[in-house]
Amino acid sequence: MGEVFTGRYELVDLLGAGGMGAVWRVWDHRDATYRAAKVLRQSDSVSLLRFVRESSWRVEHPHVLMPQGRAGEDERVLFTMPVVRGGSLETVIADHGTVDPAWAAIVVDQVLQALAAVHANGIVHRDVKPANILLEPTGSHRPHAWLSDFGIAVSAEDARLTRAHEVVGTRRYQPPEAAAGAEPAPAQDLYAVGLVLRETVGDRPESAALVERLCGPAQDRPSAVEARAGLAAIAWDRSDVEELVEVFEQLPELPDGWAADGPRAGARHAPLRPAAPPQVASPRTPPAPAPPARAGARRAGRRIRPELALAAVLALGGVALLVGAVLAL
Amino acid sequence: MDLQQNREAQRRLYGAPLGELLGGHAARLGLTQARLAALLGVSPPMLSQLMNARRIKIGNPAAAHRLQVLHELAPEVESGAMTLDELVAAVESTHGEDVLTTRTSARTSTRERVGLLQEVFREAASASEHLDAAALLQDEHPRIAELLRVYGAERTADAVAHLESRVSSG
Repeated sequence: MGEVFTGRYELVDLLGAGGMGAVWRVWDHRDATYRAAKVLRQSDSVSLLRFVRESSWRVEHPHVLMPQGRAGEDERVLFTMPVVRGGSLETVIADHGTVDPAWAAIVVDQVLQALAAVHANGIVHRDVKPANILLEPTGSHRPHAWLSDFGIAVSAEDARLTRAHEVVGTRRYQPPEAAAGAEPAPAQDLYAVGLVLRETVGDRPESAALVERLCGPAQDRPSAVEARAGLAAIAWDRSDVEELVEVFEQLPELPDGWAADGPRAGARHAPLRPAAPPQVASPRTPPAPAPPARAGARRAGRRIRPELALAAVLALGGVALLVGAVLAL
Repeated sequence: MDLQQNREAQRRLYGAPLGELLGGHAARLGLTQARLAALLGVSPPMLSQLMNARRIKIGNPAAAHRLQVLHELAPEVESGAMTLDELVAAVESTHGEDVLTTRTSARTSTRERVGLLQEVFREAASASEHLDAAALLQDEHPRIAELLRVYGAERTADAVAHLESRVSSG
């Protein structure tokens, strides 16, 4: 049996290790579902404080991904998130180069919707970039993006965890005024959206004016809502688009001993390393007590149901960059 | 989708169908598909689409460029003139400056490497502990003390500058 946190979250496999701790796929025994979990050490007090704060915000939005819960044990704390299985916009850019602008416009619009909701709650994300825009594995269908990693976001009322002169976030996506020590403001997120848009569609004449406004002086930048209107008004020339964007399933296969609906019988002794192949015919071990609603869902079949399948790789490239800035003396 | 036609299209673009080309390199160099994907800078599912000819073209010019470098250097490894590690380093340091994209800039990847280094150091101890340890080592092992200070305690920008000076001078 894998290590179990607070009797509820069982570590399944390591999805990645970033600057703010390791990210595991965990099995939530209470809700009978997989989640992504960042495991932090209590001694990482600054990161910890940020995550506690992050998980105290509640912005319910179809394109906003925030931590759902946390559990602490001994020296470590675990924060859970839904798992998103399609990688990030960074993955898509690496796979495709510049992408079909019509596809990109949908993703950027969803990010703007997310930012509109976040800003309306008085929160500035401060780290909008392709690696923090996660995607559902929608193949070549309509994309579904999630704005994630609110680890360095701030709210207006918050006591600042970061002094103004410290550089947080990913420098490349920061507007000049943030690097110069300006107070966090929603306009800074819009600057980053401008860069994301340009990086995703390339230097296209149709979007040049919008990118210029987004990346221009802070006082001239559109709000997230205004930028959505600007984006919607663009007529994209798709005549040079050769191939459709495809968002693949990026999550590694479950290790031996695990199935879409949880731990398998017969292999529970060593779920973290390769075990004997699961015996298909053997009955599955009933999981720890699950609420009735989920028990019904589990019986529905072996395929992952969409709502259970919000599994997630946290794009870690960016996370690794943060720690230095955050913990710098 | 006519996979045979796609393979022919790949042959015209890359000299051979990608399954053959990449599969051959992977086998001869002893690279897994996951490692090959990471080396080229595409995701494993995308690599598999390309190798199965379900997709014809490598979309990211930087990845195409890395494939070209891999293709050029692979015989050197086979002949023993170059080690696999050297080839991997050469391919990874190909950032596609001479093609259209400058997306993976050298600066970004240095920062990422610095981030990982700092993470390793700071997993082990706090910044002040690193500074204490550096002070203890300063007289006997000044260069080790420097590493502890730079990656254990200094700001990222300084660590990036340090790594860049190492890489360019070394």
